[in-house]
Amino acid sequence: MTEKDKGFRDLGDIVILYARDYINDIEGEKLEEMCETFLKKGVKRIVLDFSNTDLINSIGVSILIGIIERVRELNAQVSFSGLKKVNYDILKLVGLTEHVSIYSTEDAAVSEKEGPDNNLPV
Amino acid sequence: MRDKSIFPITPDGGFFGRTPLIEHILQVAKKTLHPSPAILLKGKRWVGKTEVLRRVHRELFWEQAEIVPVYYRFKGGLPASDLAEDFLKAVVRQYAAFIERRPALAVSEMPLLKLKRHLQDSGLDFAVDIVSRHLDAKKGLDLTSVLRNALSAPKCVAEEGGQQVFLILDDLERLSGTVLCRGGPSVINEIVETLKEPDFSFIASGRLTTPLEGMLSGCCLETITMTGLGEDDAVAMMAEVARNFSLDFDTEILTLAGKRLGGNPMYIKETLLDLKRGDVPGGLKDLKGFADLYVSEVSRGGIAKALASAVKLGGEVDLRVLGLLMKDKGALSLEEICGRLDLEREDAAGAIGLLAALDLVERNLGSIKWAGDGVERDYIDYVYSTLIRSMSPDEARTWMVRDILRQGSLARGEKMKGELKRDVLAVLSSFRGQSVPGSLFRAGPCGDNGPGVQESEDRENIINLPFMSGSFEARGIEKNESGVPVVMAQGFQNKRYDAGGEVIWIAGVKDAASPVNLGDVENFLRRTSILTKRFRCGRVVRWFVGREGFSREAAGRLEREGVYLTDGPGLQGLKTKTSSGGRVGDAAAAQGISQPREFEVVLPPGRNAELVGVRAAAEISSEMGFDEDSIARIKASVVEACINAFEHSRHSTGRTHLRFIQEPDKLTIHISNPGVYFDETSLIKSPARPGGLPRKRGWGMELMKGFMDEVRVEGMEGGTRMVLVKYLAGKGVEKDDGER
Repeated sequence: MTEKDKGFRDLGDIVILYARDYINDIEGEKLEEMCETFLKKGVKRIVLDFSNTDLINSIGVSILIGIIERVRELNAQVSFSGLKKVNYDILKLVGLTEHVSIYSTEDAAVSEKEGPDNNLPV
Repeated sequence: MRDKSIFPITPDGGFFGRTPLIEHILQVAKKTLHPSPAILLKGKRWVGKTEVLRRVHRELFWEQAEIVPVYYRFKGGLPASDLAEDFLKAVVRQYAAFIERRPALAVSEMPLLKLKRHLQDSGLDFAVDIVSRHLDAKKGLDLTSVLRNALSAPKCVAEEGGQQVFLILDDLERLSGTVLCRGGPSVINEIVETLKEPDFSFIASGRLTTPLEGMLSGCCLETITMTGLGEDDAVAMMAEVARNFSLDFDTEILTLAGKRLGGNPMYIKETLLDLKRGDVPGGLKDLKGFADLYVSEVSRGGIAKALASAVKLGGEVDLRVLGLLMKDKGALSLEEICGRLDLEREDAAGAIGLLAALDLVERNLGSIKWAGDGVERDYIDYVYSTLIRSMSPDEARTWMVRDILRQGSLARGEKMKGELKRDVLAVLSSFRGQSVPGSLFRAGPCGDNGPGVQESEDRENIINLPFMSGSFEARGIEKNESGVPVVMAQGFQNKRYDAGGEVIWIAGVKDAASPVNLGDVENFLRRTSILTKRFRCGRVVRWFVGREGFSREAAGRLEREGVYLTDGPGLQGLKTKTSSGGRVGDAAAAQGISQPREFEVVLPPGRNAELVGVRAAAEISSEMGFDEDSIARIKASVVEACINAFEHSRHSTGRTHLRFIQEPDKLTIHISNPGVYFDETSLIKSPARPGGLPRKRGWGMELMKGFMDEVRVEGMEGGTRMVLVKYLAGKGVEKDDGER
């Protein structure tokens, strides 16, 4: 089973969570639960990778806002990677791009070498 | 494309159906391969080859700077030396025009010496040398050098000027009789040898029977055969021209006219031009009008004049041979023709040679057959009738009109036969709560317009149609099924979008040349009874459509059962009544663009049901030509609208109806849900989050407004309808940042 099939890649202090193709209430809540699990394990950095995600609906957006809120409460960090243009546009319209670091790929998000690029969608 | 024509062409608005061909030729012209690619464009006369070649020239002249286009249309009957000089002037003139960006120079009638001075002034010394060589050879009466210098001019300017030349040679076959001098080489052979140079890219046009392919063997040659415009393009062209000429028309007649005229642009233009001028009787509103118009055209109108000029028949023998070949569908040998027409072999062979040169007959391995088009056939038939059969012109025309009327009726009947079921489904889908005359559902027995069924809602002789959400053909109703096809449609009556308003229409369709009989009726009643039990719908309307009407017994039985009856003409009337903007003869409708196309999707309640709507939205918007970004935005908006609809539907079994309306410039999507009315103010908006984070809920409407060009919420009886509009041009959208 690949890491993407499992839904996450655990790198120790960083974990990458792979979002499914359609982020609605069910899939959003699954992401939320996985975040919660890893945060409780003491992970300090979470990367949500959306490269397989075609669409995030408004309920999914509200759950993402909840995730960011929860990560902040625990003094951890969350960043997004692999956003398709329409999903980037959704997050920008909502105003979420100002509150989360956005990277073009999960590797860029993990390394943080290039620095976040919140102006350019994938 | 801006209107910067260099050689005369049809205005862009009147040009139809050839864009893919032009694009293909341009791709070939721009290829840098070795050996250079070449195209032979073949087609019957007046099919539009010249128009295509001139448009290729225009595109290459204005839209790029690397390849120099040189267009030359050969003229028949010129002495070889004059032809050589004319060709040479065209090459150097068009080369200079392209380099200097002076389109007027390309078609200037400047004398050669003046042209030479112009080339000197422009510093095009290599072109000056070509002209000088021509003048020297001409002075020395060296005809061979004159011709070869001219034919090598495109290659010379390309090599010396350092820019690739794409040679566009129109009507190459016109050179077939031209020789350099008595007993000397053929000019066309000389040209062909030049074209065979491996680094020379060109397109040449010629008629179907010209053996250019064989002559050009060895070139990297692609042969393209141009035929008349396809049915849709021909109808669109006629509709456009008719509209420009303020001529009334019927779309079905335009379709028949397009077929009869073979989609040939010249025939179409001549016919409509004569009609506009009033030079010929008839019209385009009905079959009789078109028959009169067409027969006048091919017997004495613009088409007849053009054909008389192009098809110069030698005499009686030619006509008799043509008459025989037109009548005989297969191929005949020369001996058979001689035997059947009692002709000398020499006379028959001479006639066949002439007719082959005119593209009217085709010779292949000793067999000879008719090769003209339908209009040529009718023209020759008229000439044959008057000259050989000694009919008076009026008598010949009357016979032709009768023949067209008979063929037209058959074609219409055949067309309708295949389409009645589709028409019934289309009519059912077009029900949107309209009120129509009850008489449309009361076809009496054949030859009788007597009363039919009466519905309670038909007291005022008006039937209120439901709002249909979907239609389909019902199959497998019973084992060993037989009988007429049955179609069904589901919808809502009286704007009630709930179980109380649900209605099912079950229609039997008899698409045969005989009226609906009692056996058909009994079969239909039995199967509708099974369907009614199976679907358990509160209200079922039964309807029988018979192309040829109903027998007296069948009509009586259906009336007693309360079944609606509609015959073929009635269905057409219903179609007109129910279709929006369904005026017969609407020009834009003929192009298939003004009448909105509609698709409907009904979503049952259930998890992820909105994704079905999303898939439909993606298909429809993609078909309309929206770009990927817009399609993604439409999909996201449909999701949000569906989520709203699900949330506000108070019925656990309530279905959400999606109606997609395609128009030329926009896609409109109606998302209707039975349940409580909601508006924007009633949508939940949660408070902003701590730390400046956005609020959690209430983003659906914002997203839709951000992604669509228009968003509105409309109340309707028993529910709410959300309307989303996206314009193809992306009105008001700044795509870069995702915000308006």
